[in-house]
Amino acid sequence: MNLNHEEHNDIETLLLSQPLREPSRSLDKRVQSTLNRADDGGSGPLILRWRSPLVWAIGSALAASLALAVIVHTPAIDSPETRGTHPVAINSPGDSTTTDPATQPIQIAQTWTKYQPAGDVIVLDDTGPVMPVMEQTIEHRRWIDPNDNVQIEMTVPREKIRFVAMSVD
Amino acid sequence: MRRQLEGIYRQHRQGLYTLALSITRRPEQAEDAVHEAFVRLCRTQRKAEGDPTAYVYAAVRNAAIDQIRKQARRSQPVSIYADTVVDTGSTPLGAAEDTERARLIREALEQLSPAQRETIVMKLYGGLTFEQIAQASGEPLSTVSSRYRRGLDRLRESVEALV
Repeated sequence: MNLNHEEHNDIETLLLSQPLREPSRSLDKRVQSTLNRADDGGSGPLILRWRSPLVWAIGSALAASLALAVIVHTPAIDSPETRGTHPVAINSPGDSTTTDPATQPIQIAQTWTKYQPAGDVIVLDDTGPVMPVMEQTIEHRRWIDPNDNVQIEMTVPREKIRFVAMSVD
Repeated sequence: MRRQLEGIYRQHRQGLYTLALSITRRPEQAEDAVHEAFVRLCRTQRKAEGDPTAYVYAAVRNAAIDQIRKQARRSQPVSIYADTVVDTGSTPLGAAEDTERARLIREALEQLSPAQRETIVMKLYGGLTFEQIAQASGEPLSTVSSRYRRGLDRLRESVEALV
């Protein structure tokens, strides 16, 4: 589409002759790094990736389903999968109906956290250089009531970017 | 998709950055916007509808608008142009005219509406066609082309005495 090009040629030429501010090399590295990570994670539209919102949506839906699932046959509380965790009594201290510790409902919480770099160092005006770090957390909670032999489990995945300040020496 | 994005970035690196800078007016936010746009494009894993270059420009434009919405403006705004002026090697009078002309055109571009400025940036510095600009900005072709023409008319008026 040619729209009065001759009429505006002089202005276009003048605009094009002005030197532009250029992006830094750090932007090139950041974009390239992002493209490389995308390449590592697969390129097909049907491949589910760790950071895909669809994966998190499915995970959250499963977690919600699990939260509602009541498992009648409770495994032994001191089984290997619960070792190293800290059972917490959720009954009030004055509850006279559950005085025997062996029959008190318990809650077991386990959290797995993974950190990995999420890009190149960014220099901010107020804090100086910071490194973006991806924090991926999966929180798993289990409530067990030995009285009724009932167990409820919930798994919550979370993902957030943290900026870690770096010292400049 | 990844190779296509890489090719578009290499070819349009300056145009994408200039578009982002024309919106954010802050170099660091402009770079964040370009980067964020590519992060989003990689995440979606969706095949671009229509022209892929226009799709990337649209992504950068949206990311730049998001940047100015979510980040406090701490630093001074800057022009899309470098601080230097091209020395044409002409006479002292000619050099002075060049400098004044550059100052006027830069100021005039800043006075345009954001939509006019974005259209001119995408057309001249991004090398996009009017069809691509229409796709990137989500507006009719006739609107984009007339906006470009009106923008240049305003710039012409601003520097008329020296052109």
